[in-house]
Amino acid sequence: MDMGLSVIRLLLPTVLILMTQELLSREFERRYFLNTLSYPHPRHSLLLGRFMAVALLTLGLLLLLAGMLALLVWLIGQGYAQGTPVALGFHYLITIAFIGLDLLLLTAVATLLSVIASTPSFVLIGTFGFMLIARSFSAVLDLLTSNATVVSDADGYRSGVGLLSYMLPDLGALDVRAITLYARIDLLPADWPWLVLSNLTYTVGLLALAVWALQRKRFA
Amino acid sequence: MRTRYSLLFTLLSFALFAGIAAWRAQQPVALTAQPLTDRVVVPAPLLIPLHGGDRFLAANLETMRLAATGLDDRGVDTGYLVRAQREVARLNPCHEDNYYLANGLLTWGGAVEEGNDVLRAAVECRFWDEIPPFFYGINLAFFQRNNEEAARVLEIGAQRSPQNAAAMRKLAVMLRAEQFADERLALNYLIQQRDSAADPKLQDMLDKRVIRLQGLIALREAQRRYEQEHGPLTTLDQLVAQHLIESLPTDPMRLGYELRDGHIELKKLKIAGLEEQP
Repeated sequence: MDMGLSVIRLLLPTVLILMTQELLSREFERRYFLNTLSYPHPRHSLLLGRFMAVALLTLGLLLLLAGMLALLVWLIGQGYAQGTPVALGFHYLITIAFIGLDLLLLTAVATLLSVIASTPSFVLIGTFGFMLIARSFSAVLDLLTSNATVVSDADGYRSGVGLLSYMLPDLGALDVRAITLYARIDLLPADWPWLVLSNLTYTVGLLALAVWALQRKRFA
Repeated sequence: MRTRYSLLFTLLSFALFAGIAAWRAQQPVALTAQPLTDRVVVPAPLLIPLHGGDRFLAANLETMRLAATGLDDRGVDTGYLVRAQREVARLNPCHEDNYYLANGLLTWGGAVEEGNDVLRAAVECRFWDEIPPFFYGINLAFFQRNNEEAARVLEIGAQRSPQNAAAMRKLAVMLRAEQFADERLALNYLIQQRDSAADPKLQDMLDKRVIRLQGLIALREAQRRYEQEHGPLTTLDQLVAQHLIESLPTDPMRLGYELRDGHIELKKLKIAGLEEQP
C-alpha cells in the first residue's frame, strides 16, 4: 500500500507534465495557435479548456490506479494478516482525494510554466523542481527542529527554509496516507480545512496568473 | 564515392574501438587496497528531497536496505544499524518493520539504549498498538532493571489491548512488587492489587502469585526458627524433617522454591547466558 501510493505520487506528475507539454507547449512551439486563435473564442477559454483536459485525464488515471491498488491490497490482505490492517474504505478515499488536490495544483503549475516558458523542457524541469521543493520543505523543517546536528547552523537553515512556507504550498502535508495505513482518522492533521483551502487558493492564483500571461503574450 | 568513404570511416572507427577495448581487457587489473569501509547513512532531512519529498517512501526504502544488509560481512556492524534505524524512526516513527527490527537487532543485539529509543518513538506514534509498549517494557525491566518505568509502559500497553490487558497488568504489578525489599510489604501490595482488580482473569493470575509469595513467607519463617536451634539450613527438606512445617508449600506456578546462598528464594525460569548479564 505504502509503496503503491509512493509510485502513484511520482508517476502521475510525470504523466501530467508530458500531457501539458503536448497540449500547451506544442501549441506555441508548432504555431498551432495560428489556427486555434482564429476561432471566435477568448484566449482564456483555450487555456482553461486545456487545463481541464489535463486535470481530468490525470484525476481519472488517479482513480484507476487507486482502484487497482485497493484491489491488490485487498487480495493480498486475504492471505496475509497484518498487525494493523489497511483501511480501504473512507480513509482511503480521503487519502486519494488529498493526492488529487496535490496533482491539481501541480497541473496548474505546469500550465503556467508552459505559457511563460519558451522551451517545453523547462516545463518538465520546473514542475518537477517545484514538486520536489514543495513536498519536502515542511518535512525537512520539521526534522531540522528535532535534529539540529545535521547542519552546523540549524537555526539559519530553519529560518531560510521557513521563508518558503510563505511562497510555496505545503504539498508534503497533503500526504495523509498515515490515516489509511494505520486505519486511524486521528492522524489527519487538525488544520486540514485550512490546508485544503490554502492549496485551492494557490491553484486558482496560478491559473489566474497563467491567463494573464497568455493575454499579454505577444505572438511573433 | 562519398558514401563509400563514410562507410569505410565507420568500419574503421568501430574496428579501432573494438581493438582498444580488447587491449584494455587484457591489461592486468590493479588491485588497490580497500580503505576501511562502512555503510553510508544519509541523514533524514536529506533523505526526503532525495526521495522526491516522500518521507514514507524514504523510510520504506531505508528499512528495506537495512533489513537486507547482512551483519558480519562487508564490514557492517551494529553501528550501521543504529544509525540507519534512528533515521527511519525520524522519518516515520510509526513504521512497523522498523520498531520490530530495532527490538530484535539492536536491543537484543547489544545496543539496548539505541533500540529502546526507536521503540519509544513507536510507543508514542502508534498510539493504538500494544506491541511496542510490551517490547519496550520488557526491555526496560530485563536489560535496564528500571522496573518503575517498565511497569508504567506496560500499563500503557494494557490500556491499548483488550485481550492482553490482564497479562500486561499482571507483569506491571509483579515488576512493582519485585522492588520491595521486604517480602511482607510485597505480599501486602499484591493482595491489595488482587482485591482491587476488576478483571477476573487478572485477579486469578495475581491470586496464584499471592499464594506463591505466602508459601515463601512461611518457608522463611520456618527457616528462621530452624536456624535458631540447629544452625544454618542446607536443604529445604530439613524443615519438614524437623516438623517445622508439615510439607513444602505447593507453588501454583509450578516453579517452586530454592535455597540460594543461605536464603530461600523463588525459583526462576532460567534462560542460559542471559540471566547474569549486567
